[in-house]
Amino acid sequence: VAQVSSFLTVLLGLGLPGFLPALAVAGRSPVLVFLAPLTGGILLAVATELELGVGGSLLECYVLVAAVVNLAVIGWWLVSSRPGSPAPQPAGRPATTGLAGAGPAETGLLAEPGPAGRVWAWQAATVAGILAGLALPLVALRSYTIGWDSNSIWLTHALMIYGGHHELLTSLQNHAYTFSNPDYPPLVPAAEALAFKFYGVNLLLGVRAITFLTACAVAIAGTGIATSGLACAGAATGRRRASRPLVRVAAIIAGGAFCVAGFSVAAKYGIDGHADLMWGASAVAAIIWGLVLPRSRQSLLVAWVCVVAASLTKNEGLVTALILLVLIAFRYRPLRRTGWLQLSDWAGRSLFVAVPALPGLAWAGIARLIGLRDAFFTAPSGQSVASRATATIAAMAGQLKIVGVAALVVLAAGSWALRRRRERAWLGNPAWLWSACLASLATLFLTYVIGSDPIAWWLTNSVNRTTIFAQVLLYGDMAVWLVLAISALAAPEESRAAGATRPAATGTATAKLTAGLSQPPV
Amino acid sequence: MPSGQFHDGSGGRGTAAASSDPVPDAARPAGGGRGRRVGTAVVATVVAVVVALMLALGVYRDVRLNTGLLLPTSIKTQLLGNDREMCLYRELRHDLPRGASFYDDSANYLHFQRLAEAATLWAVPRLTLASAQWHVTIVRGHCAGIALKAWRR
Repeated sequence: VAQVSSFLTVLLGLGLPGFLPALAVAGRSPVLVFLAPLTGGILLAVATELELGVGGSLLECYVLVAAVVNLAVIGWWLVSSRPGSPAPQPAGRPATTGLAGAGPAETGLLAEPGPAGRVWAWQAATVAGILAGLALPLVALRSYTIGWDSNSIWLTHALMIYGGHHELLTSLQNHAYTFSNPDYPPLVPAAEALAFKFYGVNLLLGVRAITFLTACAVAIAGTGIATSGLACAGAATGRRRASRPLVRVAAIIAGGAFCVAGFSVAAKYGIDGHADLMWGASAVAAIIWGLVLPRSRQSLLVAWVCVVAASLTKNEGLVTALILLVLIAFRYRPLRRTGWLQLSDWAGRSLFVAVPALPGLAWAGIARLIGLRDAFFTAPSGQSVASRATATIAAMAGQLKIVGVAALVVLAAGSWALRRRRERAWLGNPAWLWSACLASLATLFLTYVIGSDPIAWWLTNSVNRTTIFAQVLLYGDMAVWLVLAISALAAPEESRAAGATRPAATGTATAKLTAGLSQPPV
Repeated sequence: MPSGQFHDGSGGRGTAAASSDPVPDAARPAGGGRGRRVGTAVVATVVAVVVALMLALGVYRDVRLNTGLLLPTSIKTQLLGNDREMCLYRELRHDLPRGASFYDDSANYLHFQRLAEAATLWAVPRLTLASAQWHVTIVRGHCAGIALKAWRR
């Protein structure tokens, strides 16, 4: 019963209010299925900010926020274009959607080519492949496990949110609850509180609702990997176009396998109500869509939604989200060789960072305003920086060594042999992804070093969870290289002579691609 | 910084981007001919095998995790733990009036943490005895191995 109730909470309680905004973001694409509940979760988290900062109950605030956002989306459609379609462009102007630096080939690359029936079949196959990948880890929902932090942090906060403004405010401010890190963002407990509102207080129900929401975040990243197959297949030209279905199928399988691997990295923390895989997978999805897939309005918006979800899930998610927003801003608004100090460019980049960061920063601001703080920086540590740093490096390396070494080998080999193919598919330079990974790990390392908890105890209890993001991200990177490798094996590069005599490719993506082969993407 | 970051603002279509081809010779099919293509195919195979093995490792770990979690003994342990939590939840609501402030007498901070969790929405945990109306502590008892002992100050 708890499984069905929690699934319905995510599907209807989050998916319905989030559907129209997600449709506006992603259009009619496979990722919509998984993006809608995550978008609903963001609306719910914003509603919780209202509940804490202004007043009222969760449901009142949720109805208000969902109504305003949905009406705004409908209004935008009424004045611009019909649902799920890109905005019309003036004649003769490429569909760059106002993204500086993004060429027409990139922005059109993720548009599914072909007749409607075939498009629908590929989209259905993508969703089915990702769902099949999720089926294996979700088998564990037949267990009754509830994690320690799930109880002491997330379910405790969920009960506070469930109780309304006064209960939430006074409980979070009660120093007896400092152990629960009262300043932690509200997305996870808000979703649990919504399940309580629908079906009554049941701890297992809350845990399972979060597992389903986490599955959506993992699935968005998996769908991104599957979508990379569309870009790689589009790069196959001439006689090699026959390989496209094989590449697409391989990408879907890679996306599904990534979903399993993502949950396996998190182990029981993925299904016992912890939030680490939730923020980690959201951040990975943001990287896949924002820093790996070809630049387009759809990719950018999906990435932003995922960044917002990560920032509203955990404090380390907020820090990583800010890093990602800066990287995404520089990928979409690249520095120019000349005039790189131009104010309008920097204003654009600032908006790219500030607007999606707003919900996460708003929670952090409210928390600081009402005097909330977490349990990690309450007092200076008596241990030396050197000893803390040494222990932290050893512990983090222990978690990352296998996937890290494998990912480095794949990166080196892929960069040597598949770089040109990656560029032809307009996939982002892997340096973006690795920059995000290393920057996030650096902030994690600093947190451990300057935090107040005894380092051995702290690492023992948390490093296997705090490194989930990096591990899942490296799995995502490898999965994209896998798709590229399979496309290289299925459709080897044609020689220049053959390339010179091959017929002009047709089809939207391919035609655009062949027009811009000499242009390196970022 | 990631390469390719500096652009002329024309989406990579400017002279700088066009004139400086970033593709390494090793990856260029023409010029090297068949040898290059074979090299690319070999490396692509290595990449595919390494990644496939890593993904397979993930699947294996997940299967192992599920198997462990769904063992009858594991399920029994999980249910016992959840019963204890629900027991605390019910006993607190039975023994303490709504809105009562309480202090945990036991020296075990984890006991206090569990009590505070279970008391959410009903009673108010306090860090000092002076600010509390009730003493509460967890003892061995009838309810999944534990029980609540509460008395008014």
